[in-house]
Amino acid sequence: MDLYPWIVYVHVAGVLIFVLGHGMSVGVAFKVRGERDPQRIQALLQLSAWGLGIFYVGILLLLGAGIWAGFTPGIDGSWWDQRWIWVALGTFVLTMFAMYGAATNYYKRLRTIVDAMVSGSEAVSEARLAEVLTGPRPWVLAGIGTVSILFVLYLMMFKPF
Amino acid sequence: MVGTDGSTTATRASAAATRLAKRLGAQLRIVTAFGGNLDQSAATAVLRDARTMVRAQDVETKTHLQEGKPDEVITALAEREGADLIVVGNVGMGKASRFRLGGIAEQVAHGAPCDVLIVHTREDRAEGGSYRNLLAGTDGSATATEAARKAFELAEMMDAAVTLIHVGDPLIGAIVLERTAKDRPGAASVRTEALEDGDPADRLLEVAGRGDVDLVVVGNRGMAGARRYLLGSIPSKVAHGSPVDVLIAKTVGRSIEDIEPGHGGLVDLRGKRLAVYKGEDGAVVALSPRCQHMGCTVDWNDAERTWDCPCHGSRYRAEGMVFQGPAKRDLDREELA
Repeated sequence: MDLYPWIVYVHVAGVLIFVLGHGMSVGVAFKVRGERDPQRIQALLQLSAWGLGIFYVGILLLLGAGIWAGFTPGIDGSWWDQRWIWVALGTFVLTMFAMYGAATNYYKRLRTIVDAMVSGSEAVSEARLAEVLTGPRPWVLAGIGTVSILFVLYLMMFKPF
Repeated sequence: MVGTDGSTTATRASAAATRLAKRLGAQLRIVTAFGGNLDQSAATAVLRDARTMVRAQDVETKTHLQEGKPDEVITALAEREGADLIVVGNVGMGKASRFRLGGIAEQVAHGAPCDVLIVHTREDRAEGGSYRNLLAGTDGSATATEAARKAFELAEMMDAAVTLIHVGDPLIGAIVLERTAKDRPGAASVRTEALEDGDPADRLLEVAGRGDVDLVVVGNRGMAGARRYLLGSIPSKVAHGSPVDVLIAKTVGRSIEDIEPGHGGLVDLRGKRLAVYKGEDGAVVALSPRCQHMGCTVDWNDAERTWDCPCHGSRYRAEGMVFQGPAKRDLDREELA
């Protein structure tokens, strides 16, 4: 039996799960910008963090199946003999590091602020919370993610080198 | 516990330890090691003189004379006798030994089983050991909060005030300082200061050098292991550069006995890391510190008596029950036996 279609199937399913899980976080990132109630923001952030579990399962599947598919012998040898797959993998890994670096401290800070406000802290005013929420970070994250995923998709579809 | 070899710095450290013991109503154990530069008969005379000086201040004392390297003798005795605090001078205790990596004071500070007070003995300061204004830094971590708690307790006992600083993000600093000050044990007067970005050790030393601080309290995180050499450590840097006395509070490498009732902390027991909470009645709850969401290590939040996950914000009650997601399950219980 030819395994290749099944590997690609798992790879695409991984992409779907990845998008489902991470889509939740993307939605929350922009939704909280308009929120001012710390309890609602706290609940949204919890939902976003919960979605990360699904997101990591998706990443595992798409990377695992993608790497496996790369070893499948084709007419001219395996995909690993072509440069586009290396560039795609490198772009994906770099993007993960960039997103992690840009998102972790931002969300940790936001969670600390919101948790403190829910606990009755007087150290943060509503104006300061609004300032943090309306910052450009979600756009930066969405920008990095979208551009790199579109680039990886281009490499996979058109295999330019 | 204080070590002496009869040198000027050791005598000054002993004097400071005596004043501290008298103020706190504590017993003072004096240790003299022989075998190196000091032979047994000279060590006996040194110990006798030190005991006479301490007893003249009406402080209960016990003496220990033992052969070996001074730092090893002091730390081993402190462990065996269950000392709460070791007092050392900051210029080494022997004439040839200076306060540097490998010096007695630093070796004691790195290997001590309890808190270490490094007394500034370069000049004779009659007030050493009697403190009016303590300085502590916090970044909101469990270990920093524990050091701040010790500063508050000491301030309460000595009727002193505490200056609490945070270095870094001013907004997070305001939250951390508010929480740490609000939940302090006792009623010691506290002044908080959020400082902009900079090296925390440098900023602590900067505040300590202003003239109104007489004791800096830091946790011992980074005093052992590779981190000390690779990244430097705040307590080590502060101990080296402080213009005033430094208390290095034992906040990592603690045992279950080190955790006060009503508090929690991470404890390494037989090679396994545990999240341990000790109830007000002394009952111990041992938990796995692995967050049930994605496996990060939870940390103790002393202000709210909770276990918090630093990765995605899951929170658990002191006994391990989850009350804030994304985690869905309670922390796993661990057996202590």
